[in-house]
Amino acid sequence: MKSWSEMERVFAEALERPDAEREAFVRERAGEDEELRDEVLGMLRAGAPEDFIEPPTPADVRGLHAPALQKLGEFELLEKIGEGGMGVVYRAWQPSLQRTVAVKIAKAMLGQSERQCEAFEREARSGGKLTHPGIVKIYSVGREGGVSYFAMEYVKGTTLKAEITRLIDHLAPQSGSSHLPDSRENTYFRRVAQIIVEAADAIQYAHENGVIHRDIKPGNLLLDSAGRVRLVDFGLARNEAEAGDSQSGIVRGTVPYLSPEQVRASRSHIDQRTDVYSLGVVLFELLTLRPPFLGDTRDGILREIEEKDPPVIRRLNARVPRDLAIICAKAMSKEPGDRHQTAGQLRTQAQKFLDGLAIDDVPPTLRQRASRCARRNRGVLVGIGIVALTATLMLLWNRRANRSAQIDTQLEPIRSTLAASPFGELPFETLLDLRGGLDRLEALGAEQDEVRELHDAFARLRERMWAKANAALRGLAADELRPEQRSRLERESIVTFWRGSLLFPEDERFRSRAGIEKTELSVFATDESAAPIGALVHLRVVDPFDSSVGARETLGSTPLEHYALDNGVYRVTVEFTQGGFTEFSVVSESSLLPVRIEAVRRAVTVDPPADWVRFEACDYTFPTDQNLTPGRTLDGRTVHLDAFVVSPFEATNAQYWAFLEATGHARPEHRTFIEDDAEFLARYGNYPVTWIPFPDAEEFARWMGARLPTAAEFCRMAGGLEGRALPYVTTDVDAPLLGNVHHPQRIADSERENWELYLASASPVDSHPEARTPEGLYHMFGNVSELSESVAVTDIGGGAASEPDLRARCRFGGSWAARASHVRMLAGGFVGMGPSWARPYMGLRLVRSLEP
Amino acid sequence: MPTDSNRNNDAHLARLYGELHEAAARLMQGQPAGHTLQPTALVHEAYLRLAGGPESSWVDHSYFFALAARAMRHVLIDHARGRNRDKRPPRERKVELDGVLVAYEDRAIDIVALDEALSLLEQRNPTMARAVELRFFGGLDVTECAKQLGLSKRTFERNWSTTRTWLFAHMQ
Repeated sequence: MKSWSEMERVFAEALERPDAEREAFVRERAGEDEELRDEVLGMLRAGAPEDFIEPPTPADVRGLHAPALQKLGEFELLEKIGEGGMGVVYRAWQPSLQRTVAVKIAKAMLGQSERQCEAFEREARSGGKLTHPGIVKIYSVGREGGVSYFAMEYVKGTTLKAEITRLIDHLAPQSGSSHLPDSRENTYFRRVAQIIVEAADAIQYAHENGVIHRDIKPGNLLLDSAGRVRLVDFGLARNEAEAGDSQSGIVRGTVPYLSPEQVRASRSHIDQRTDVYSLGVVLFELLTLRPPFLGDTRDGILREIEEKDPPVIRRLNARVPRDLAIICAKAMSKEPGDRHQTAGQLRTQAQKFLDGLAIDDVPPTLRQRASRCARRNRGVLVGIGIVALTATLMLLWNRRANRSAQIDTQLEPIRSTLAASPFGELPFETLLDLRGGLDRLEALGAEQDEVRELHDAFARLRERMWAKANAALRGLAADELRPEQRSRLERESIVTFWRGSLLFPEDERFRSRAGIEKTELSVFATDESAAPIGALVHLRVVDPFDSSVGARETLGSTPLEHYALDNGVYRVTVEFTQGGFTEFSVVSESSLLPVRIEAVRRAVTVDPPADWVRFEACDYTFPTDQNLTPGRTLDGRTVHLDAFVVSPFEATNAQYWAFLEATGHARPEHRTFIEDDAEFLARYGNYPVTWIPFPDAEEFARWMGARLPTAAEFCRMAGGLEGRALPYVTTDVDAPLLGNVHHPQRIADSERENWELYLASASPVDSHPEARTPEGLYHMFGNVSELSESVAVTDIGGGAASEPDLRARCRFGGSWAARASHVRMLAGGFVGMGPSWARPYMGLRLVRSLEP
Repeated sequence: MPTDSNRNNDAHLARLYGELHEAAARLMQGQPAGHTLQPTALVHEAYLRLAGGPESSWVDHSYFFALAARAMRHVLIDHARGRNRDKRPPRERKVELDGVLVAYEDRAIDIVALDEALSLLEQRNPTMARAVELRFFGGLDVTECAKQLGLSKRTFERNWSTTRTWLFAHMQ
């Protein structure tokens, strides 16, 4: 008999093989060793249940420490088993029927208002009329001594939330992406789909009975001892009949699972598709073991829900089956109209996945991108090639060839689309759907002739669009164009290139034309009295992924006008003839907005302050440690950094107010909270300046003769070349936190309160010397989160973009408002350009290259 | 675990048996017949008693749990065997552990068969046999368990998974 470890190895290897091959594998590996062979084969056949030899949990045990706490009506409360948004849940005994029940008691028993009681009892009534195997049954509602409560079915088991936590705990010690659910364990994804099917079934039933749950989340999905999903807690449920009673304008529900329309609360309508969205988030979490949006504050998450696309699932976990990822992304569409329109539709798609059938959903990235595009360019039509396409499709459908059921399934929605409205009037989004349908037909191995004909039809459309867009472009080159002509041609070319890139993502030509257009760059240099002075203009290309800065190219001297710059990310350095230089970060998209730079030579643009810390040129490698890396895109990337100097301190209120004073720049919005500037500066002048919109931060930095750090520079300063875990320790990510990061999350709802919190919680920029880096930088990790000039990449801070998001910038480090669980040094988040992104916990630090 | 005499161990075990029975009796007091007890609660109850008593010198946390888990196993096996022999408990026999046993048997585990499989496992892999005692009978969580055995959590979990299947196969 071989050793235990040998047996374990053979067993583990056998499990990695498909079922059918396992036995043969074991026989071969065991060779002559019959005992080993029989032992492993026995184990392969055994299939122990999930909870086998797990210790009994409290849920298994009736009567543990069980003095009846209280009697409520006829119910004897035994132990607290949970806590929901509105109430506390107890396990209880109902003597009359000799059964265990769960009793939910409204929270805040003291001072419970009539209104709260009613809301609570409404929950019970909403749930009470529902009888479905997937919904926890409500037995009775009562009120005793001003305390509202209701009794419901006691479900022995666990919640999906606990299961997800268990999975994360169980898998966490492994490294890299392998800690995500693995499709080799196909059973996992089948189980996930099964859970979604059951939940969607119950939700659909509730909808059919006029009840919208509005708080679908893993904590409200119980798994009973047979593993069946049971929906609970209609705490926010809105009965259609009582709709007038619901409070508007208040965001209710559980933050990570809120739908965009719930976030917008007062402004839009909440219907059954809200529950579809939230169930989509649950699916997302089951597939990736993380919530879709990771903002470090409630506000941040809410903003992301409203504005950011969720991350691409298969980038987070490549093992997720494609169809499940598609179903999930569709359910999580920002626009309710883009989602499954009912929970039943979602259920059908998940069931199709389980049954091994092709799903009907198309990759929603196409749809979403298209609708975004359509929103931007409403009214511009692409009316080419449609007649030809129609003819081909009709021909195709009329031919009753020998098609598989799956192909019929694919053709079904296309047919009904065309039956519903004439082809020529179909909007662009529908064209995209057709293209998706055709791709799918091809993937299914539809008959070669058909596929070829369809391809030909789309190829013709593609060439026409290409010709049309280029013709418009050529038209633009003409000398005498009326402004409206120019504008029409510009729109026609840009929109057609853009739509072509969506319809034909495989065609590089559209993509490059749509994304890369020239922008006009003009650069001027003046002295402080606004008189023009001489300067050289240098340009460096910046890698939008890792923020590395390329070689210097000198474009010419100022004034530099109408230089045609490809859209992209750059650093422009204006080097004054009389000495000194100023650096600008230029991010230009495929817009027609010219970039205009006005560099002002000041004393500070010549010599940086003497106390700034110098970092020599080096090659910097982003860490790969999961606890340290700012985002997976950057893992292990090496970039070259030129020498730079940096302020040891975060920029202060005093500095910013001096900037406001000198330039007459618009004051930050929160200034209304400050009654007396002098008094404020006397007390808080040395506190980090926060709450300024990103463009203002850049302008301020330039006025200070500096710029914001790049992502790589920030990581290098904070973590050092040796990859420190925290500014002040080397490797131990669990070392006690020093500096101003200990605060629990406490960003308030009102901005006034937030301002008070900032005043109470931020620290002077030169405080906490114990948390300095060895190089002497203060607060690299705490006090305020710091802006960088680098565009937001993929997964930094959970940012959703799958490509660099040119409209957002990275920020790094924790802050006085950061939750302890979010405190990782290089992790940060991103910040958009608009004033609403300015927050009281975001500040900045000034950096300057050593050489122009 | 102290290396010293088995004599001490035996004495402590005997003391623990008594404590576990008493703890069970206390917890069952005033409960309707058929109520179930959580074994972890029992062990903790016993621990609190002993830690506060004259024996507290030997009540080192980890040592205690290792021992208590073993005691729990023996107590339960004896109890189950007794009950299986005679479905009606004889009047003089202590019934307070029925509640605990039910908690296990609710899981559709035959305690006696498990004990036999566990004895086989002790021959094959004594460490994981101890792990089963600690975890299943002692109610320790994965982290505590791994620490007790001097294994990393990761290694423990891998071994645990194999062990579970092995035991299950040997109980069929």
